[in-house]
Amino acid sequence: MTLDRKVRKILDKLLMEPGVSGYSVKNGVITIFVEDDEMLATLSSLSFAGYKMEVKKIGRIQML
Amino acid sequence: MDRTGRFTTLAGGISVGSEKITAGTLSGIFIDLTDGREVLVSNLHVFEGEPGKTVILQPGRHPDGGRKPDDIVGILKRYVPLRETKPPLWRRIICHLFGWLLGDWCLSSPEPNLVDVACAEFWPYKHRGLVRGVYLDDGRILYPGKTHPGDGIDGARVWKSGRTTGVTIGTVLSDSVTLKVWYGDRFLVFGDQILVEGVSDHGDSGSPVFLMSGDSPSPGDALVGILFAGSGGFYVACKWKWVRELLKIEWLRE
Repeated sequence: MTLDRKVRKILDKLLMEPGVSGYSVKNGVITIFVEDDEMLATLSSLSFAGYKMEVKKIGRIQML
Repeated sequence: MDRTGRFTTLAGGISVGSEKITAGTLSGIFIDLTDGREVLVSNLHVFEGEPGKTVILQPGRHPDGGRKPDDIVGILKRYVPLRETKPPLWRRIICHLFGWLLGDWCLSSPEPNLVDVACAEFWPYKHRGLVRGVYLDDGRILYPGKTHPGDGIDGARVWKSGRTTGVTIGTVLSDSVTLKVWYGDRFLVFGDQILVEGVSDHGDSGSPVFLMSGDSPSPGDALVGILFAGSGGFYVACKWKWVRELLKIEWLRE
């Protein structure tokens, strides 16, 4: 299994956690999108070997 | 321009909705690739209902005042079903009992959704016209004559035309995001979506999203996706390449 696929599986699990809105993996950068400041603070220390990490607050995504 | 009113000429960017929901936005008039006929397109959660039975109203029912039969403009033709996030019960039981042995198989999540779209046959109760294109805030109809699959547009400028917030310009934060979207009673997971930093609000679902070629909306812009979710300062659009492939519709004029 490639590193990207392994990371995506972990991120898929993380996505199911309350407060996590989404993620993207591109060009060695993982961006995790979160709902609030609390989750922003919680995940800001997260790291994945071989990737640069970013955490961004976008709120809860809902159908419009 | 009041986009929540009754329009005798139908084009993208105005209030629409099935008889079962409140109101969303008409994405536009497209060509059905299965039979060559013109169809009305929006999100599945805007055209919610049963194909061949549920009618589509313009304007949408609530709060825009659309009523049967005067405001009927179509009948639901087909949609791309939405997949639930939760794995089936049998799989959850197996993983609960043997997850330590099955490892990755249990870690894998269900296939994410790619689109939230549906189309309706044009079937007006009273006279209505169809025009390819999208309403601008001043009431003009613009027809951006290109399409773009939606890949490789990180950082690009886009605009959308929606029932509630009209034309707004935004910036693509990511063109390959996996997201959890709240559908009122459950989350659904979407993959390979376009995340935009830009203004949207309830009722904008279905807004067509265009890649900008200049400083303002122009005929040289390209349809890149259909908005279906958001959070105030951000919105999400499903990519045109998935809409075209899965719903089997075309935007371009012959």
